[in-house]
Amino acid sequence: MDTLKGTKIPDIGVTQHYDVIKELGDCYVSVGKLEKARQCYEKAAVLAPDEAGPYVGLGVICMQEQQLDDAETSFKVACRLDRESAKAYCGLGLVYQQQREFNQAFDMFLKSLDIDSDNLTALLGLFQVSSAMGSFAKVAHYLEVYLNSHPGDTSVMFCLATLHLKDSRFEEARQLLDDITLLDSENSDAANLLEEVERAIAEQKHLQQQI
Amino acid sequence: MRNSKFNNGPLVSVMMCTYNRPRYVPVALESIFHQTYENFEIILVRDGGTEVRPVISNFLDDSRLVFIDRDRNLGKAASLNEGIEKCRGKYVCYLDDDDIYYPEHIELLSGALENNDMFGGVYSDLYKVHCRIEQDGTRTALSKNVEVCRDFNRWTMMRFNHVLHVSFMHRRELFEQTGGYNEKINVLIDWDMTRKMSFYTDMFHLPYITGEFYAPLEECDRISIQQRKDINRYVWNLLTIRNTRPAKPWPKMNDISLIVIADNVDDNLYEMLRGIWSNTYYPHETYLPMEESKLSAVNTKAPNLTGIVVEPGLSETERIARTLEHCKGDYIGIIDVNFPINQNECSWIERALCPMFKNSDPLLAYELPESDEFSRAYILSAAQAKRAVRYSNFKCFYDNVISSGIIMKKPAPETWPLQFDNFYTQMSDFEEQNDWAGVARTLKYMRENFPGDKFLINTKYVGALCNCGYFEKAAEIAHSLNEERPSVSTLLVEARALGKMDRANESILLLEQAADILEGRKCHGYIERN
Repeated sequence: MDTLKGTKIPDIGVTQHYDVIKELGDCYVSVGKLEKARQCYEKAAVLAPDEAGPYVGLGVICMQEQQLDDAETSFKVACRLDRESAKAYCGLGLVYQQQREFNQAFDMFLKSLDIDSDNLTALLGLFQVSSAMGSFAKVAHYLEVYLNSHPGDTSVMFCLATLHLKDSRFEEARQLLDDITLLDSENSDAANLLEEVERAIAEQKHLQQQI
Repeated sequence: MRNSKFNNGPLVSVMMCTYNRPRYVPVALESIFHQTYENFEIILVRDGGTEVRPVISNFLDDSRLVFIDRDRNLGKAASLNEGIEKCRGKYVCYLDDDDIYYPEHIELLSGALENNDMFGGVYSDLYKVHCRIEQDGTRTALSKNVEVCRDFNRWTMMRFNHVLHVSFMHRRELFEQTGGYNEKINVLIDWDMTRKMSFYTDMFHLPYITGEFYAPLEECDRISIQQRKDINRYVWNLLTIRNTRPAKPWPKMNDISLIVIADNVDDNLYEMLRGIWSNTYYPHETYLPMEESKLSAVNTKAPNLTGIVVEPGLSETERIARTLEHCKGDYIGIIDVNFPINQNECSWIERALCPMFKNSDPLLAYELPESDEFSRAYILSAAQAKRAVRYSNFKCFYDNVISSGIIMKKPAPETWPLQFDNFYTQMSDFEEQNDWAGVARTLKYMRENFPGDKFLINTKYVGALCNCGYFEKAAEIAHSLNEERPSVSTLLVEARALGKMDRANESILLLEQAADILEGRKCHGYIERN
């Protein structure tokens, strides 16, 4: 039946059914109903076999159930279906991090952030594995990129402050920690680290005076 | 609205034609036999092609099914006309052989007609179901959207269809006025019929979702899709319908006589006549006053074109005066042959017609915005035209019109017809560019200025609000829509907005209902907020 072009709703897309089921799966995950979520993701995968989303969701469920091998498989399928899926790479990063394969985790988190610099999970994951490896190359860059878009995110500010401290960039660390305590006066971690930074600054001045 | 006379109410005839689509005929029939309203008959016409008797054998024992089993393929229009001959119902409705009714379709629509004498027809809303055909022939719904949801608008109906035939029910006597389906056209035959009916009656829009029509992703065998592949033929069909004038009297339509002023038979004239035929959607007849020797060169067999022989040397005013003696229109359009028809507008002469119809001042008339001293196009009432003839001091008719005391105005854009459609097109353009702020702005204006069509406008509006990040507002409006007329789209939007607000449990309830509709477990959503 043909109808007036001007009044016809443009095709919202044939993905509506997929969207409903996929989002239902996401909601079930958020309320902890993992089995129902799994059923939704499996159904979504049948509705849209080329979509990576359901496999990312299945990977998340497997992670929560500590089924790391299955999680890795799901995330890899997602990556194959969508080479630009930041969430899939992030998921793999989390799997490798759990398996203490820190180098691989680092690579996956980096890949995720290259696609989506706003992926907070990947960002914090990158920081954590960097801490575990004792190497912070590149991390500061991604933290700064994220903060440009999300100024006031105290968790990321804290990560960056600890990096500055490790690099002996005490003033920059102090500035960040001051900002955190302004935004969140209850943040005891930031307060403690600020004390440490101020001690470090005082020591540095003392040493310079002696020299 | 509901017709409580489930068994004793008036007989409703359901017309169905089938051609080479036996797979879904039983599904369609099943949906009719599951109606809450039982006093119906089904007129099923096999228009040649594959046999369907084997697949409908379960239904043949029911005396309500009249099966016309024809081997020869005559086309849908002829098949519907054949079915009309067999109809006994007070009301008639339609179902395509691959579509379905929801159980309350006949009850709701027949109830609306029983309770509203002033309407000859009523129509509801349908889901358009994009589907994938699985290997076993079952259909998996990929989306269900209400694509068309317009309150009745005669201007829109004249230009193109906004009433889906499967959603439509009408009084049977309208066939006597319209004369049945036009067997010379082979696409848009449903629009041709509803358009003709609009000349005689108003139609009532019931904004309930009462059925589904299917659009498979694969090669679609719908007549309209197949026929559109031959674009010239399709356009011919469309223009033929637009130029169809059913038998008078027309209780609901004015008649327009357009008088083209041309001195010569040349390219300008042919371009003007083509332009009128292609661009005018309001019913009209075109008159061409010319000397006989020139008129003989014009093909006056073109639709709705009448040549008027006038003596050589007559002034424009005299030629128009002669022509007016033949004109049957309530309104007269005077068009200079050089007048530029603006192809970018969806209306042209209608822009002056629309304000003219609403005008009660006998001394006010309208000319098109592009009119100037070199070429004019203007609309008068028949009475005004006759008045101007009496003041025939000037060769130029326009001057006589003015000297007769008639004030000529150019209509403001907000008085043109199809305003809603223009804004909707603008909104759609923003949508295609993913400019959700633009979509929201346009729809906000439409909400404030077009009181009808609220489901159509608001369904799009909440989607735009969600895309712009206004989740609370989106949830609030979607909630009120879902309380009144839930649909998959609005359930999804409300769920999404609630999800963004960390209200996952409420979101789950809505998404589950949307899934129930998509997977056929529920025919339409109703909100359960536990």
